[in-house]
Amino acid sequence: MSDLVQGTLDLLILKILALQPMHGWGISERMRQLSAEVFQLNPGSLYPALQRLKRKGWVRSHWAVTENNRRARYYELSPAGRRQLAEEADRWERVSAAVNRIVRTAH
Amino acid sequence: MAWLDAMREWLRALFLKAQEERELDEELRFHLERAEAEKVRRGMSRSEAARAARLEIGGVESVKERVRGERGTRWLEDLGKDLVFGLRTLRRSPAFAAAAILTLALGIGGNIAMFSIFDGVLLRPLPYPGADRLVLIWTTIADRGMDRSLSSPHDVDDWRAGNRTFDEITAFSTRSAKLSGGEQPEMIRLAQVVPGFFRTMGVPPVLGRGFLDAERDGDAGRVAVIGHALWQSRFGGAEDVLGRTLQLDDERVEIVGVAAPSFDFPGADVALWTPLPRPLAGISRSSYWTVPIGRLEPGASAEQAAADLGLIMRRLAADHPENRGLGVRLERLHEVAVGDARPTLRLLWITVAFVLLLACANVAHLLLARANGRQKEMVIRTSLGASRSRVLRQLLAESLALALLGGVLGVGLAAVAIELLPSLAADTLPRVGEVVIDGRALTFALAASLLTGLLFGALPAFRVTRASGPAVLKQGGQRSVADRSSRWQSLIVVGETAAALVLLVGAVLLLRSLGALLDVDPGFRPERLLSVRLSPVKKVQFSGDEEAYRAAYGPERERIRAFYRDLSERIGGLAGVSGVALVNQRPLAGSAWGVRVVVEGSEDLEPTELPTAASRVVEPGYFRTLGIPLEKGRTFTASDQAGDGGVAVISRATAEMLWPGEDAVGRTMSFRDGQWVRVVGVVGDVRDQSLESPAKATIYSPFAGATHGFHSNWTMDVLVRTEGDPMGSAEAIRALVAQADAELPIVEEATMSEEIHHSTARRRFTTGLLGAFGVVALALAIIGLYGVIAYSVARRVHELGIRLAVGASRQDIFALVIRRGLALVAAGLIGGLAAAWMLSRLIGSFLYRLQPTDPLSYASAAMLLGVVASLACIVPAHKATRLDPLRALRHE
Repeated sequence: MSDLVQGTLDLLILKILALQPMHGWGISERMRQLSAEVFQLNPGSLYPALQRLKRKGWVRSHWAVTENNRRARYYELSPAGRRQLAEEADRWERVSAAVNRIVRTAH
Repeated sequence: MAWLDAMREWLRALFLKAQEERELDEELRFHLERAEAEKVRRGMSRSEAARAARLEIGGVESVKERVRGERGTRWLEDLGKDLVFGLRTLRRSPAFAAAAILTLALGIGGNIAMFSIFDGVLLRPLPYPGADRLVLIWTTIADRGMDRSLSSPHDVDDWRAGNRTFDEITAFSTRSAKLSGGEQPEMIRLAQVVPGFFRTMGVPPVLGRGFLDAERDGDAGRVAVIGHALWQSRFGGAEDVLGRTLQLDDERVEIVGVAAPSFDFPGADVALWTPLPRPLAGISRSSYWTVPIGRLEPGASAEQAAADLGLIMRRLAADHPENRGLGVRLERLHEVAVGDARPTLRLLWITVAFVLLLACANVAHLLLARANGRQKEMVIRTSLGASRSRVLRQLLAESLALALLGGVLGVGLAAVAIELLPSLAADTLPRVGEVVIDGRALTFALAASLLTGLLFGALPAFRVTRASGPAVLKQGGQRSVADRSSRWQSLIVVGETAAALVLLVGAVLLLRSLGALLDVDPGFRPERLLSVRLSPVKKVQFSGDEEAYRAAYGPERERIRAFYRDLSERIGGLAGVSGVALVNQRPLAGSAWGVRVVVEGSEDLEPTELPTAASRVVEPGYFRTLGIPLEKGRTFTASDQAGDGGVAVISRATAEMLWPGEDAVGRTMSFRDGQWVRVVGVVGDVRDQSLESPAKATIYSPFAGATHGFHSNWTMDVLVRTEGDPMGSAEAIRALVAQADAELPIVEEATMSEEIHHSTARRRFTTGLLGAFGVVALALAIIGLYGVIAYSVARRVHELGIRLAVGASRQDIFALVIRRGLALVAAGLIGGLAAAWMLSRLIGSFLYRLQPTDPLSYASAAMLLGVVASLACIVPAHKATRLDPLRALRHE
């Protein structure tokens, strides 16, 4: 997890929340699933990141009841968060494409 | 709107901390439970799952800490904790805290007061809506050399009709009147205004209405709008006041409106308004007695408006020869109201800023001294893991705490000063009643406190954290570090001394100017001289018949003259009265009529090339009663006449101006079209406008035969020389006036010595304040100097003990200590003299007959400071000679 640059982590969390609002545990599970077990997001990185996203106004939170009748804090994207996601995704496309081009160059 | 959400988050983190912590705890607990459940699902036992989940999280508290770090409120919370800690530290040294806080309160409080004054008097817009578009319109009369004359109501009406750059133009003129009908009759001040006045000012009456155009004519004009205060005092704020009547002089007027509360334009003493009568076609256009005010159209500039009106004036000159040579000059109302207070307030604020710098310097000294004693504490802190910047921040927070406390006390001091302000400065500064400590001032107070805290706290904080590690912890180690900071202290003290000298030089310069001014000979003897202004109300009314009007004018004037002569004889017969004089305008009553003077040989000159003089009309006995010396020829006798073929008496300045080096007696001159008079005497100059302005050339004419110099209602000043206190005879004089004419109002009563005193009010105010600040600055600098010297002695006790032990005499010790002190004083004096010399330009405009680089003033200020400072050094030096060598050696 320490390989992930802060900005990329933000992008991934934003994307996951774009699919549907969920609580912290749900985000880390979904991250694990979607990345085919590559990214194991531990709470020490997740929750500070979520707080950061809240502070920047890209993510909002509210308390709700889960299917098991427990209280949990759910996170969702704000309109500004959606815009940020689009921007970040765009930037990632460009950056990763450029990295790929260089790395895949036969030598 | 990301920032809205962001702001909400930030505020929650700040104010709902407990709740946030609970929620975070619950959230992490939830995460742990689910992680556990997941592991159990995968096959672990409960206890294994629990441990595994906990390991995964890696320390709940550390996760919480990282989340807290992301909240963005860390720095604020740390600051808050530091401030509280700082306050606790201060509590442990109450003497230091008290001294520092008091010093700071003085400096910060002074600046808060100055800010409020500056804001309330100069910056805040006048209390009329859109006041920045209000302009006063002056008439310029090239003929008379006047560029700020009142205007003719004829011209005002023409401007109203023909302008294209104003929303509205109105005009006013004030006068006094007797208000009766009700309880006691009283003299009040009223303003006659052109209809549209309240609309122009933007403050409509709260009850009723303003004036209609039709109310400028004849009987329809017997209406009034009363002021709010008058409404309360005379009618108890009754709702049905409209339609009731008042007796003004000899007319009954109907109340048609009540003005808004605290609206009192054009003067704080205006009690009510009446319509300004329409100027009748037959009355001369050359009567300049109203002040026009205009509200510029949005988007129109003052220059455009001036050009607009100027064009109208030129067109008028084509049809009306008496308008030739007239122009206009516009001035923003705000500027007129407060413009000339600006230099004074600027000077005072610079002074207070200096005082604050001195206060900061002294507190910095205190902190530096204290810092030297905390070296050990700091080294221990850093060795226990505190980063240097953290320690620095905490020390700065201590300084901020001091500064904020000083600021709070300073606000209190400023509030007291502002309370006292009206009684001290009401007649020197405009709008003093409007000065308050409001939100802006409090914001300024906060900012000033923070800046001050940084200013005096930065140096000591940096010095303290410069500790060189373990060396400090050894015995005596603190001393060596302290020596380096003493260089800073010396530097600061030199700066303080210099700053104090600058202020002292300023104070001495102002003081000497004031002294020079008070020494000025006004040209007459003002002591025990009472002035009573009378304004006979009976006017010769123009009712359309020009011939009848002219026929009635002459006899009316003679009747008034006889009345005045009779009255002055009766007053002269009163016990305690040694002389009576009559003049159409007494000295020090404001600007006077100017006339252009023609002498033989200069008849061909253009009016603008002719010399100007002030004109007065007097009854015989004026010069003797006022004590104006006769220099050549004679003064008036009862048979002297003014007018063509008549006589005049001129002042020395006039004689110098018209016939330099020659004898003026017997010469002829003209200052009224076609009327040539002969000079029969030359009298001494009188400082007519103010003590400061040089005496203007003045021409005196006898009352008999004079056709000029009066307003339409024969106002005269009766000057009475008494043997005792002038106000003591006032009662008797009032009785005589009432006897002569029960309806005659006394417009003004003044004693000439008071008027002279009043004319120096602003100068005395400024000098007094600057002097007070100078003394404060002196005290602060002396305290600083004493503190530094005493402190350096205290630190050198050990060393001095050694010197004494190896054979130094008491004189040597004395010389050693005082050498340093005197060196600091000398450096400070030199620096101060240089700084004062460079800043001297700023004070130039405040001085009277004194150069801003006047050597005597500089020398005396420097000597004063030098002597006092040296005394301050002697005390600790003397104490040093009394050291017991044995005890000194044992001192660390």
